[in-house]
Amino acid sequence: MIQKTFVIKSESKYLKPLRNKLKLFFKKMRFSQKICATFLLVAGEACTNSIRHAYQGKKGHKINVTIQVQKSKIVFKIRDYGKKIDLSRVKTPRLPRKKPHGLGIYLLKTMMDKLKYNTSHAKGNELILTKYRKGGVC
Amino acid sequence: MKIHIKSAQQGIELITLHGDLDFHSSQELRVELIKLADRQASKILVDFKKVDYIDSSGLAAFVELFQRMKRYNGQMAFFNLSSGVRDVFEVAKLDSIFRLAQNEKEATEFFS
Repeated sequence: MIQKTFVIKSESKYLKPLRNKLKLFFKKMRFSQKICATFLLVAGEACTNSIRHAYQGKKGHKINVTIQVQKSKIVFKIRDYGKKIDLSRVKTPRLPRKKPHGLGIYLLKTMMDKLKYNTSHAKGNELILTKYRKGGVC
Repeated sequence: MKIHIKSAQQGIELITLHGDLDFHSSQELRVELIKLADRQASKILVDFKKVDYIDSSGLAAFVELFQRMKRYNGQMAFFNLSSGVRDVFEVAKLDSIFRLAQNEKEATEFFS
């Protein structure tokens, strides 16, 4: 298993530099262009959730993005130390969305095979997103 | 992100975007789109040629514009979307409410 962690601060201006680093990593992993685009979006959406909801726009807090590349799956773990997200309030919106909010969670659920919140941490959230590699290809 | 807005022919406002459209840049875009809706721009075209990335915040800026324009029967259309950007619109099923054209000519035809 290959594992790599990227750390950013809870500020939207760090999203693009994160994507640039991820692009290089995905290239090294020889992911297809399409799956690379999906993962960039997924990582961005997850970090945006941490910035907006867990840290509520407060700057300077840590977000860890860990990627585990395994033979059968690729796992993203997005860890923040902000306000706990109330799972009961996270709803999947009905589409097409005619309100400007709630699309992020839909994209995460749709583009990945599995979405799970690890609520066992004393502080903050850990979002775990999994994509299974069909026939070892991704 | 660079946002360029110019008044074109037939009362069309042409928006040219340059750069990634994410949670950071979409806040600036949202302000510009609201200004257009506030002055009731009747036809808006958006050129996505220089946009390689869009996230839900970028989509949300356009959903908000769509809502505001609906109040005064305004119309908008997008063109020159890369396959990656088009995919995001399609996954979010927004291709059913937004007009996505191949090029500017086709997008302009939506208004006639």
